Amino acid sequence: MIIKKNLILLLLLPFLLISSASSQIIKSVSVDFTRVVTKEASEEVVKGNIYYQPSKGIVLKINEPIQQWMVLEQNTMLIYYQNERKAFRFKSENPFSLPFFQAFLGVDKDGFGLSEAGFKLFRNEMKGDTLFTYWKPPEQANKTLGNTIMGLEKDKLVLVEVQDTKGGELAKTTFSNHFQYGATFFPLEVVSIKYQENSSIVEKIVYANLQFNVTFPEEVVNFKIPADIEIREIEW
Amino acid sequence: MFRFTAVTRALALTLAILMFVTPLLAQQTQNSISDFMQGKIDGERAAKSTGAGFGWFLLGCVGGVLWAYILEPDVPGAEALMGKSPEYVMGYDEGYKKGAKSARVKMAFYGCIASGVAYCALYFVVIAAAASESDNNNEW
Repeated sequence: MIIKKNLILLLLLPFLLISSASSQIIKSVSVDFTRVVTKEASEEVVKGNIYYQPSKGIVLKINEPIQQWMVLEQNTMLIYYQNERKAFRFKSENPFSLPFFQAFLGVDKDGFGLSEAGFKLFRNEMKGDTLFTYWKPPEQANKTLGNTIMGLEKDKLVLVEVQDTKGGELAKTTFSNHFQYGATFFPLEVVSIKYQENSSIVEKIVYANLQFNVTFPEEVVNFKIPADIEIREIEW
Repeated sequence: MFRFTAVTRALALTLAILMFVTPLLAQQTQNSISDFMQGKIDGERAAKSTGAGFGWFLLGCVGGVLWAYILEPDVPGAEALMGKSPEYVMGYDEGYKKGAKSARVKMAFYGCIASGVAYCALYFVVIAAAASESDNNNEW
């Protein structure tokens, strides 16, 4: 009986995962965010707006603790301080990223990106309303990473836990306050704990005013560093 | 007499302003230096933990949900400089470059040792083969 139940779940799983992926085309995303990082006794709070276009990149307008613009386009990252009248242009062989936001967008990927990355599903179980799926890492990562556990509640991703090779916790992320867009549930609150040897880092991100396929404000669309500002060029 | 009083007053006022402004300027300079130093430390630390190619593969190509929190991309994520002062950014750049350079030197050193060991191993194999060949010839 248990085997049969598991078999049904296993057969249903691809459909469950695929149904969580979006069918709508996202041309642009605009969202306000507050990011709080707590490490030991210190706490860092950053507030701002994210403007994202898959075809172009990410524009970040930081409002707190300092006024700052950041523009990420492939291998270039531009930072501009309006008040201080200073600007930096970073260039690298590798693309610049905004990991926490990419994680947010990751829920829009088929199977949340795990199958695509070579992870193998080897077990699943229902606990109450939550479907837990267990994944083995691909060969390239199995020396440093153990299993990954994902928790899904009615197509909503609620938990991701990453273990080390001995089964200990490396990191845990919980997702809540979901916003539905098409068939995808975007978590408006993401709390991650990254465990370290003597301490842990807690990152809490709260998103608000999430909008898709909207026209960005004029200052974002026509963002340009004034001609009289000297840009410091940096190669990484 | 009047002139002297005016000059004295102006001087006193200037001194009073300086007394208030100097600590503020000093504090600002101190903050800038401390921001720069903190940036340098963080940048150096970041350079040591970046460079996981597989991490980048997951993060950039797949954009997976969790990897952002676990694996470091090849260049530090933009959030490292998000909400930070220009001084911090400058310090971070300096630290990152220093850290990356030392990591590259270390890798080159390990590479050198590895190739040295490989050459020695090859050398001994060739010598051993030659010796064995010579023994065989002597037997004839």
